[in-house]
Amino acid sequence: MTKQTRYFLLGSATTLLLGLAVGVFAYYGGLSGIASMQSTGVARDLEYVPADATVVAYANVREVMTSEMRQRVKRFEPEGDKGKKEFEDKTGVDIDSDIDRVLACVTPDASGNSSPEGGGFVLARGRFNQVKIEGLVREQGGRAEQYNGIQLLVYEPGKQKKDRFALAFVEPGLLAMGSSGGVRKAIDSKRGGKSIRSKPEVMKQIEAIDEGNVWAVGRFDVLTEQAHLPREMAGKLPPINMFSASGRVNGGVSGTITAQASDEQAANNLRDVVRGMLALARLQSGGNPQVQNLLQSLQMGGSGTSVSISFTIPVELLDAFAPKKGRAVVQP
Amino acid sequence: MTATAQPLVEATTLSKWYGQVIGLNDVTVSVPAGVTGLLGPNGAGKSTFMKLMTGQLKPSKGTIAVFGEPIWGHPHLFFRIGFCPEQDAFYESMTGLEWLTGLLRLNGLDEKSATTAAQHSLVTVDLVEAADKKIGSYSKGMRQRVKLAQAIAHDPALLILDEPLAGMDPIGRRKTIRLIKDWARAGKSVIVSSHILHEIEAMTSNILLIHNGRILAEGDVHQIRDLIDEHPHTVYIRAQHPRELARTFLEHDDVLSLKVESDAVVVQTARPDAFYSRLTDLAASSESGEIAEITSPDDNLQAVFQYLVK
Amino acid sequence: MRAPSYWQASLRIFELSLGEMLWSRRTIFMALVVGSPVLLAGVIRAIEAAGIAGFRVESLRINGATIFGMLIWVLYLRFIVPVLGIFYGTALIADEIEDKTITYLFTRPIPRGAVLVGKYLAYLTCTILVVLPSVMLVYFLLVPIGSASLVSSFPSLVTDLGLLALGLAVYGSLFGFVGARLKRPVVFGLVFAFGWEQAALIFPGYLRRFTVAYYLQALVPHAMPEQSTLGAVQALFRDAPSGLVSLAWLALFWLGFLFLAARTVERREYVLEQ
Repeated sequence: MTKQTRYFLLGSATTLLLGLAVGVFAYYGGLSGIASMQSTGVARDLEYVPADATVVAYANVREVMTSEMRQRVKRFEPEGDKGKKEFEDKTGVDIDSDIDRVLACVTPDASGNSSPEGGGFVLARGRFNQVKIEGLVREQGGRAEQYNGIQLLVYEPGKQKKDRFALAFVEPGLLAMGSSGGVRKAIDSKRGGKSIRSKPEVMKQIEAIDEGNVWAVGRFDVLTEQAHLPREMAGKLPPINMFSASGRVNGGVSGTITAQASDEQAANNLRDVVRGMLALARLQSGGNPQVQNLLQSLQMGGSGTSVSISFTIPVELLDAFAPKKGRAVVQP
Repeated sequence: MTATAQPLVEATTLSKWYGQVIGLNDVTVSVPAGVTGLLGPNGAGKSTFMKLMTGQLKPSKGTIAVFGEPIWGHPHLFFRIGFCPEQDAFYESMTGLEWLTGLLRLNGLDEKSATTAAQHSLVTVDLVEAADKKIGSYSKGMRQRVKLAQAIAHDPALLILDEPLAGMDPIGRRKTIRLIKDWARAGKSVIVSSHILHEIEAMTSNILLIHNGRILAEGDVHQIRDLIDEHPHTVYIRAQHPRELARTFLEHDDVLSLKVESDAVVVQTARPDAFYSRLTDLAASSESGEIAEITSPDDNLQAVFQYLVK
Repeated sequence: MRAPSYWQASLRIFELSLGEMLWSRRTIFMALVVGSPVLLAGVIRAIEAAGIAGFRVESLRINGATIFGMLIWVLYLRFIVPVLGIFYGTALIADEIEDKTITYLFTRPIPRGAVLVGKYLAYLTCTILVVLPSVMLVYFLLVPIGSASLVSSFPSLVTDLGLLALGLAVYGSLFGFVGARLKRPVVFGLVFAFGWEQAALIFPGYLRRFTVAYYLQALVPHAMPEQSTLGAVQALFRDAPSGLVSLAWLALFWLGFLFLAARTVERREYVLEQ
């Protein structure tokens, strides 16, 4: 074997092994998703999400609000900025510019069922007028409580315990609001309790979300279990462990919905079902070009146990579905 | 060779057909130890016979045994056989040393022993200086010599050489002939083919005459020699200064005709032995410039064989 | 001197042939074939990095991992692997015959079959070490380190690499046999890979079982890209064998054809043209 050949083989094998090593390191060492999340600060906010959360959702409010898509949708709103103005007057928060991002989650309540009212909360990061917001809650009958060194404003519109609403500035610029139990769990998670970041199966899904400015990840198996469905119906549901949905709101909306099946066989079955639905939908779309375009953009993907559907809703499609009055507003 | 000694190569009613074309026709012959020349014009069946005795071709009919064993399907015999084929084919991008080492490794030698044997072999064929050059850059004579080197490198008991002198310069020819003679003197055997009698004669007097796929005669062939001498022998010499060379040739009366080309001289001579001897001396002295290649068309031998089979 | 064993002889033929195979004119063709997806990935990456526009297929903006999956399906598995199998596999013995260098190998104290096996190993090393790094480069260009989809798609990359190596091995042994047996092996190879295999895969029934692609495709971790309604309907009727069954059949093809190829070389007489 000549030197030239040896060098080639060595170089080639090195490229291959180096690539594999980097990939393995990135896969197990978290070079990838966490890095991108840390750059946006989401990783830090996830420390408030309890480990038993069944659904976690995120939105980059700043990006969504400044998107072309949002500008178009605004034109369709019959009352224009009226609602937004009222909200701003009461809270001092301009949704377009004061909120950077929100992270929401649903956790099981005391009875073990997941519901936003029972154990859900929203974390909003941005620039808030704390005095004005606290004043508003107090005006509505809210009262202050101390919980683990943080002031909670608790408001009880109804008699039931699950109706309790709470709000707290858990960090400067970070507002937690939601069910009283949920906000307390958020504080606990940050203060030494187990957060969602200790759940690798959920984190893997979150880390795998690429480029989305809105996303949600949920534990499908837990949700169906908590739903107490009749046995016959539960038996017909596909064996999905996790699901995720991510999207990018910009000129239009593009996104991916991914389901993580329990094994490859289940994934193949699920793919067959999705293929069947896609084929049927495409056959029935008939002469409607807008619907055909939308269906054409549906693309099945995924590998191994994951099954995904990607889609794109171009902004032109929204125009087509928009009310005529809205379109008239668009004209200069 | 003694009368009881086993023949090196033994063919019995050996025939080889290429479709409708006969390559070798019902040949029964025993090749003894020592140097044997296989003489015949192009297309006579020399190469077919050599391919059969090196197990590259399978007999269509009859048998052929080397060292007492059928050669087809018995590769272990190649420990004792070295073959130098006629075709000018190589792994052009390899150096001479790499190529020889690689082939020697196939003979079971480890890397170090193979390299040593390859270097030794290159010394024998006078190619040490070109050992690390790519074969693609070798001259015709060097290619012939490296081909010979691969045949002798594993020190075989039997060397089978198919037209080994074709395209060599006079000095290379002389050295190769000496090498073959030395090989025989060391108690080993050689079967060498050519279409030029005097080349074969320079190596051995034991000749097998082959024509149209048949062995016409075997043994000492003085008669053939006499017949060939009656026919003018044509020699093609590629040289640096063909005109100067032609002028030198004209001084001798055995030169019957001369034709000067841009880079070669074509000579017809009545006495090839004397002519080749003079040519070798000329090449060694470089008096008339460099002589790159000598070839001889076999028209004269063809005429003799046509006369023989009449 | 001891005769090298079959395996040793194969390895020595491998050593002798690897450089010749690697630095041959055919490698320029391989470099072009394998370099084109790298170039394509580079362009996509540059477009993404420049923020000009997201990569779209029929108006759908798709991420790097999905493009990578498409390239594995469309370029590597359906084109590059069979093409390299055809052009290298059929030439294992044919090149030596055409160049008349086979004489030097057939007049050595080694079994003739080892010549085929050694050259096959050289083919496999040569193609694997060119194709797989190219796949690796394409992957990291499309799914850069730090991107979130690396986490979900990396295990698929490992499967892809194994799958492509297996494809090269199986197609190589099949066309190695064809090259050892037939006079015009390339024509047969092209008809088989781009005629027979494509046609057999379209129609439902048992014919597809007589293709290599059927078993290879069953192991692909990425969903098959299908844009048309016809494609979606076809996909509904597309049955795929289980991974284990596919692996078993591919192993059988691989070893079976390699054995047949070696046996053919062992027994067949090759007449060099004068």
